[in-house]
Amino acid sequence: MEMTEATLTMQSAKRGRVDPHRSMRAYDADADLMLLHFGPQHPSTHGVFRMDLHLDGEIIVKATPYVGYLHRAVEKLCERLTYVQQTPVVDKNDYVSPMTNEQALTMAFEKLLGVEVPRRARWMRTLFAELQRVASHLLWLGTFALDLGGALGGGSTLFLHCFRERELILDLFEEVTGARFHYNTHLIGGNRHDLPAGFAAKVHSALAIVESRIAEYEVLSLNNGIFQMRSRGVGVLDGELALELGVTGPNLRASGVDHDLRRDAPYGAYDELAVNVVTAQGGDCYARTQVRFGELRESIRLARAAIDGMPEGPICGHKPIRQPGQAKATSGQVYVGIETPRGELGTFVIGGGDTPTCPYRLKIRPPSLHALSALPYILPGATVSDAVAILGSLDPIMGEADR
Amino acid sequence: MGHINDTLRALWTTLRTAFRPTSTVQFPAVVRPRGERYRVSFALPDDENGEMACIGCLTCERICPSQVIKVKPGVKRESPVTGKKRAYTDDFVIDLSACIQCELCVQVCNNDAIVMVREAEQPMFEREDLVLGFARLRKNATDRTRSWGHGTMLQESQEPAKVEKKAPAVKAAPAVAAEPRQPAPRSPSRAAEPPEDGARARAREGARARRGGTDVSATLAFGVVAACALLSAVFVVRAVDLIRAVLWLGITLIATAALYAMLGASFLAGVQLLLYVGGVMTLMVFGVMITRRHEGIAPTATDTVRPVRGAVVAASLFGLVAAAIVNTDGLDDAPARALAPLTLADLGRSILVEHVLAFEALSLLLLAAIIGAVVIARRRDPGPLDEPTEASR
Amino acid sequence: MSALGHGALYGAVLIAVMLSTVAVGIWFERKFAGRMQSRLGPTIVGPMGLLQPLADVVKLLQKEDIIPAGADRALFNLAPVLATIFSLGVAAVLPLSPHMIAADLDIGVVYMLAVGGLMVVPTFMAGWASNNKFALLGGMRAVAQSISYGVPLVLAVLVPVILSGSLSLAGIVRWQSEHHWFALWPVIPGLPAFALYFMAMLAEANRIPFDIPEAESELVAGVTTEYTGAKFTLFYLAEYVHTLVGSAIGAALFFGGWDGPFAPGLHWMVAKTLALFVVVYWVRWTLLRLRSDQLMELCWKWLTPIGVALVLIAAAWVQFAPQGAL
Repeated sequence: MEMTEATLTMQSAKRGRVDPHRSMRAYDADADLMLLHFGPQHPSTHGVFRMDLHLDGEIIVKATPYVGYLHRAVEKLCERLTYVQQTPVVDKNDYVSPMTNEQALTMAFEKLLGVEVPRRARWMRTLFAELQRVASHLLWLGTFALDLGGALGGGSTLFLHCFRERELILDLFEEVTGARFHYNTHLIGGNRHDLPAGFAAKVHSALAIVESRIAEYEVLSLNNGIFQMRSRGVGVLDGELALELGVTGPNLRASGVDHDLRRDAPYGAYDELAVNVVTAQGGDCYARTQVRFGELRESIRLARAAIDGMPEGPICGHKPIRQPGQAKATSGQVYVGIETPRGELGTFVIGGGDTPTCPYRLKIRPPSLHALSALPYILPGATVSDAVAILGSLDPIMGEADR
Repeated sequence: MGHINDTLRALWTTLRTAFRPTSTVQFPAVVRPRGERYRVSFALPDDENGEMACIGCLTCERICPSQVIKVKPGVKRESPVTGKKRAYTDDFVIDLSACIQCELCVQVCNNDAIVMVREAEQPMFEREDLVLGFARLRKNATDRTRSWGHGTMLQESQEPAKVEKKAPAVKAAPAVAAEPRQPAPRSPSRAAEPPEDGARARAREGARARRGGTDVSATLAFGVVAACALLSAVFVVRAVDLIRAVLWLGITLIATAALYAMLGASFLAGVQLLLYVGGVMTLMVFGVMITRRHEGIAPTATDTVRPVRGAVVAASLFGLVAAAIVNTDGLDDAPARALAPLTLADLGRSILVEHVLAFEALSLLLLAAIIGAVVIARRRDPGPLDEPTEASR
Repeated sequence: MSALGHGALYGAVLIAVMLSTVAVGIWFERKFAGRMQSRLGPTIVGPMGLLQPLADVVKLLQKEDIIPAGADRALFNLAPVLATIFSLGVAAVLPLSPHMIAADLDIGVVYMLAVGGLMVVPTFMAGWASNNKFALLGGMRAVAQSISYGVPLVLAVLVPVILSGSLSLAGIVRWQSEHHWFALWPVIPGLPAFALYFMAMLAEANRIPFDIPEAESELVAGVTTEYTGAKFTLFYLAEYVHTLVGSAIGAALFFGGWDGPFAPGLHWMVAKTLALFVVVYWVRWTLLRLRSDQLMELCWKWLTPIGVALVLIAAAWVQFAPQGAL
């Protein structure tokens, strides 16, 4: 997949739009166009995200995204904390699916420290990851509906319907970890909390309710005429451009690229649980919705398989946390990527340095940031209303993008 | 058709939800039950001998990622209960405002001396109120329900060598029965009521009587409305801001409509409002908005030719209209009320029978204008945006 | 009593009735919306939250009145007042019962369309005067939407006018009570004309799926972005009154107004109005929002041709239908 600057320029030229790398003065020397600062305080920017939109009427001519309003120096913080202290800190990165942040971080540390994870812990992590994917996609669907339908209309109805079912998943997490957000249930080598008695029945009943409601969501969104009018052919991201920009996850699969780390580089229990990767053609907002609906159903299937096949055994393959400095790495560097609900969440760690109990450098590769990088390419030509839909369909989480 | 079906299905879905039990509860009155493992606040419990279990080993203070725990270890002394020598702690503070409830302090405590509790602290007005001091932590140990986890148990459960029997996974998937989805039948019933023709006749009588009056108030009203129309017309010309000019024009048009209404031509008044204020004026606003470059700033009239030119055109138009009015027969002494009985049917007949040629010619003119507007509007592409003039990377 | 006194009295009573109906309507909408969203809706203020609208108003009136720097003060202050006046003004021709009409104009329908069409002026003024780009975009959308949807609205209203041969709202209702409701017979121009009216009314009142000028997920709050306190309250009120009056006119034009068995005419009129009002909010809390260009496409490519066809069919009915059929 050779992609050079020339191909990028060609692609934008093919669309007849402004090259996002060029200064606006090249196109609008008289400053005729209206410059709209979209965000950071705007109801539909999914947190604090800002775009500068150059508008011709309501048509976007050029869009410049700005990130960093939610920067919290998490990577730097992780260099100061010991390996065992970091799990609760990264919970807040992707605040819609905290479980997967913990998982990505601990998997990187396990690889760095050479710790083996017992089979039961791997299956539990897979169960949590799939439940988290269900919860995250539900929240995405709700907020996407908010973007399309407004906080005082049908959008909020779907939003609250999705929250109603997401609550069931959070209740399951609370049942295991005692928390609804700061789970801190992963530790190096396994899991901190074992499943309580009778958990399988609760998972099954919650998933049955969620599954039965998916048809309702489809009536209110995917199968609804207005939703289709608003999403079909809007924000088309073609597969080549997506690969070039590093877009992963449902956004990439909606562009027809069959790529999923759960199948292509299995971790956790995915070597034993076969994942049916959901893809769609078209790369527009509608395709992205289709992919996420498909993944919702697939994740429910995987979560059921994971709880049914949950093996017995220890939940941790390393000593439990007793001291802050108990895990040490004198050298080495690893990269681990996992498939979160938003795409490839990578963690790159360099061990060693002055303090062996802390990483020398930790870098998080957030899928949201790469999804946002597609905006200057797919926004021009759309209207302001479309901009909201396109931004929402990419499912950006600013906590993760800005870290 | 598909869209109608979609919409009806969506409406049915929300209606069905409206008759389901709600998933929320009224909080202070009803409290959702919390799980056994729910953890929010902290407590410093006793050990099995009835004295505080904490020995001030500082592990929790060092493990805390948010660094919100401050422990002041005390001196070692003999325990009054067991008589053995042990360590104590003098002070213990947790700042809840920065705590992330990660449970690591509980996890590392080998003495089970710090635990989490299931009942949350109340919201406070002062930041200092969220700092859990020694006394409050001790009080929580007796007043609140302890959460499931404590250090030794957690550590033991995570030990790799541990073998524990698991509760068998109970398979229970209560299937939610699919509910029937047909729209609720609606059958409005109707029946006739005795006709009420008296009221209408009376109202018309009254209206006519009102119109006929040549009293002072009518003249006064005419004067006020006419002054409004004239003054706002002056403001239209005087306004610097183009949008304001259009809005003043709106007032002129409304005042004209009022004049029509006072002359008894209420249909004409309504149409004047509908077409001129609701349509033409709105279109003008629209035109100004999509053609003006810098919103709000109108061109300052620097050249002197333009006002003169405008005045000449306006004067000649005024002359034309005035001449037409003067030359129309039968207007000289016919009072306004003579026109009043003209019904809508008469008006329609007049336009579509007597003056049908003029009417059709006017329609043709408007059609030509529309086509011309479309032709002018279409001449826009290719726009300047398609060809960048300079490449500045 | 003089005609003026009579009109003033009726007007005052009508405004009081409208405003209290709006208050109850807001309460009902919030309860209903809550139920549709699996929520409880208002529960705290008053029994079953009945006083919630009152509490809302009190809260809104306490807010600081902000006029943004660079705003056109005169227009900015005038816009909410005009919005309220115009929305309440339409109510004058509402035939509530055979004896209860504030002003039974011969051209009630034209008056209703004219004054209702004026609603766009304050909306645009607010958008223009706010000195805010989101408000300006909202104002622009409002203008485009209003001039477009005025056309199908007029065409839809023309159907009952042609069928009954009267331009007075009371006259149309009287005709229906003597014959039949237009939504029921003749079905072909009647029912589609009602659907057309309903959609155009939603667009004129800026209701989802046509609430493009407000579009809070895109334009923050559209034209009302910069409004606070009492002025925002007036806009809010005008919006509700506009919807309520639109529902009442729909009930009068297509569902026989005061016509109905067993109960006084007023009860029937109020019941029908509230039923339509509830449907508006049912639609609002169910559907998503259209894009402005799709809104225009729907209007000009679908609704307007359908409206013209319906008017022609109605004319054909009047001309060719046998005497008993109409």
